[in-house]
Amino acid sequence: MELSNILNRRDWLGTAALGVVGSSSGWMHTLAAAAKRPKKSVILLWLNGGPSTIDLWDMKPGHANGGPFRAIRTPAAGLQLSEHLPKLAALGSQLALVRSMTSQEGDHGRAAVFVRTGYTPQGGILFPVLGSLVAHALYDPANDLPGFVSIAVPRFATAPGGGFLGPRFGPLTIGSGATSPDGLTVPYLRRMTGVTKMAQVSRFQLLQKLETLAVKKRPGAIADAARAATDSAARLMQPSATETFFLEHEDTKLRDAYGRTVFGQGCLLARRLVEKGVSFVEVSLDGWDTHLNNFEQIKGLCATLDAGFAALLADLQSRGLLDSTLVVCMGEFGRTPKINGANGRDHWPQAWSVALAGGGVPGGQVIGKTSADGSAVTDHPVTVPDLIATICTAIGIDPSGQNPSNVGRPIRVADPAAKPIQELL
Amino acid sequence: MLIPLCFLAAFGVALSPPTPADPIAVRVDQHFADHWRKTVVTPAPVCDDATFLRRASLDLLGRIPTVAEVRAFLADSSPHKRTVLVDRLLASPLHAQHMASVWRRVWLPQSDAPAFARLAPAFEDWIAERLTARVPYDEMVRELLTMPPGSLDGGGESVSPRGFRVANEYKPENLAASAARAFLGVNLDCAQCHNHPFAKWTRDQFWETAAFFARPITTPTGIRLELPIGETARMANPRLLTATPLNWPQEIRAETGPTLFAAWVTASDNPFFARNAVNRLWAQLLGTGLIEPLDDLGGDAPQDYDPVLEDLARAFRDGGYDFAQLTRGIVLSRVYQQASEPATEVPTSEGVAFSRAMVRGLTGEQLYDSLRVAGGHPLPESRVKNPTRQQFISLFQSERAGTAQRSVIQALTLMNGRVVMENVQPGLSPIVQAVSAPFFQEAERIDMLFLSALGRLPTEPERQFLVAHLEAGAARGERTSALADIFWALLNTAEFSTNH
Repeated sequence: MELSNILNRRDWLGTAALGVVGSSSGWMHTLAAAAKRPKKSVILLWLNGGPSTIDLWDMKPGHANGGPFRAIRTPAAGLQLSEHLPKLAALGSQLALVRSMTSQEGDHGRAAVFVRTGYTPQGGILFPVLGSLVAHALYDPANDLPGFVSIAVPRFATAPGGGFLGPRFGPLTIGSGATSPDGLTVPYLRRMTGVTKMAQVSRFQLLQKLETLAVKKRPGAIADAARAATDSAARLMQPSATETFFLEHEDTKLRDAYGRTVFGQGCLLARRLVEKGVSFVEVSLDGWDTHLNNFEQIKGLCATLDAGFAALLADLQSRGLLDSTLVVCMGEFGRTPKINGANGRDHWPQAWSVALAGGGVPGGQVIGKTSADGSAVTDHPVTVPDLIATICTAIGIDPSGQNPSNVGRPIRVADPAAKPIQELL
Repeated sequence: MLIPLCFLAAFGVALSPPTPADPIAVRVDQHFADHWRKTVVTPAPVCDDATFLRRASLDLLGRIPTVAEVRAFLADSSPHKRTVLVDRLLASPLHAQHMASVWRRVWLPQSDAPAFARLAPAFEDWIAERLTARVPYDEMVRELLTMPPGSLDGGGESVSPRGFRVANEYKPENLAASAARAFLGVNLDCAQCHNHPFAKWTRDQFWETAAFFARPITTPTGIRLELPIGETARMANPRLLTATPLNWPQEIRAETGPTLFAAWVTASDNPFFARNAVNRLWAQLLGTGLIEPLDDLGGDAPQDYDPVLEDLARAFRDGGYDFAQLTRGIVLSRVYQQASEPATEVPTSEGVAFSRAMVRGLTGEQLYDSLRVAGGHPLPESRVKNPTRQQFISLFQSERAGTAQRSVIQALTLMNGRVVMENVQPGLSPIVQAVSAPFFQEAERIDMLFLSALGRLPTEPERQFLVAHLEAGAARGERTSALADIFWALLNTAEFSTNH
């Protein structure tokens, strides 16, 4: 299809997408198809700093390592949660807990890379994060929104992006370092001051014409990528896409249910994005590196997590989106079962837990087991690559699929040694 | 369909750029002429003057040329004007500043992360000062590697390579791995934990290299440098990656290990030192190294361009490790001056390295400074310490800008951000102000906007289309905003954002 036809058919001021500048790679041609929700999406609730999962998902009441928190029942037999997660406990039949995660990376930076990419950091290979792998595998050229959005990334977090898949599949980051929900905005999404809608359309038309006149003269992937990014940015500026970020369009009571925190409103934004066909959304909650005063801190963090996570599940369910949206809640490792001298817990990658819900994963079950003191996995050990392969399989991506990499050999979506957790599929 | 080079010459196709011979350029040209003959590839023709000026300005000064520079260069009829231009660019203070940001990213990659960003200005100042004084490269590397650790903290001087120690957290294993990567093109990182699966370095070799940076320890048998090999109980002592004997002094002091290591790194018979510098400079100027990946010179992969690299490395060494001389030779070679469009419609040269110029991305520094030049703004005096520039740069950061793909946020920044707004908004933009003056014809206005943004005149279809747009705007009494819209569009083209 000619670019000018796309311009005519798809008015930037209207409802659908516009190919502003066109790329010679040809993906533009599929624009005429309407955006549709991918079969499945993932929302990753990222607990930055390494959550004390022994105080959340794998309680050890009665043991010296268990700390002061009580465990409470949920509707699912054998599935107990911390007393500070009461709203989630009520939804226990939707939760699947993996209590037997085990890894060897105890450094924040290395562990964050490992858990988010599924590969041990090794010199030279730019492993993409899971969000980029998913956005790449489920790429929908008809969607005006990018495939991977990352919300409230902590300021100094290690955040590898699209890696060898390129920034096109890297995250659109929203509200990085935000201290209030008002900070959940896309930078520079608004037109320049004083530029009317009509003037903006005129600018896009000029740009499109200039690129059409020059496109054959400037070959190459870098020029294509620049045009593709400009195109994506222009599509994101359309009212129908921009509208996705207007949380004020939501019901006040629903917003209250999510919690008026950056994380809570970030979860709500995640739902809005998934609803519009974004295939991977990450929402970060920072502060889990509780070397000091663990229990006081965890209590506060739980209130935020409980409200956001539970409201998200309920909201997804009421909109019929829960079966197609896999929610995963984790951090880079767990924390020492033994309580340290500062009433805190230190890094503990040997045994930790992950919570999953939705996406067709059977809820109300617990995978694996740790020892009575919480320090070791005693049943069904699950590695990080196993978990990555499980998430991929659950949303219909072949974990053994290969991507071309930056080191001259293809790299599999998940480490070839990974075994998906059958009970969750 | 393949056309032998001699036929092209017979038909008057320019095969050599009109420049007097630079000895290094001559050798590069000879290698590539042989290479194209053997591989039966037709390389792209030499690019036109406007393209050359823009490319050389971006590569040597880190910014596009000004309107005045483009006009003067296009009007110059001297056959040697490219050589004269390159010599002028190399002598500019901007050249040292630009190369300082290039080498800082290679030698101190950690300074692009928030945790070590504070180290960047002093480190860049140090490189720029040494380059300006034409300190040979081997001397710079020795200075960087041998700074005695005790004297590094606290000293308030602003020009110093101490950032190398700080960014590597004073750890022997980090210092060794970073030095090997930056100055030898050897990647030892994997060997830190296990024998490298694809290259020849072993874990023991990694720790033996690191041991040069160990703190001397006193043992019953004397003062020694040693490090435990990872988590094992074995100890590593300093040993070189090649079988070069070491001249240990009588007394081992803190700087002994780094000094011996630096002497070996920069020795004229080190097989990697000159080759790595040449390969990295080549990659900077042409987008792809003669050997890739850049940090795997020790690898076993077959190397098509090894003779070129070897020859250039020898010239660099024999010329006293003078970056300016090496840069001059590469930039005046034919392969650097090729057009980015393929030679023929037939895609024979598609994907053949160096058969045409690679279209490259720009660093945040290049993009910011080019935007300022395009808008007619003066460049700030101290570029490193300008906060607006720093903020912009951090948004456009990437490990290797030449091959980095643009993100959506970066595109939004260019479409709606402050820096471009100051280039297009009437009242803020000197260039829009200038072309709005009443005494110009519409076509002259379009020409000036093209020269400002793209360093070239518009093609006839471009000029016609934009003059018509401008005339329509002027008829509505909105000429200035039409000019702003056109300039906005030019700044958002892929052509503006790339080096081609």
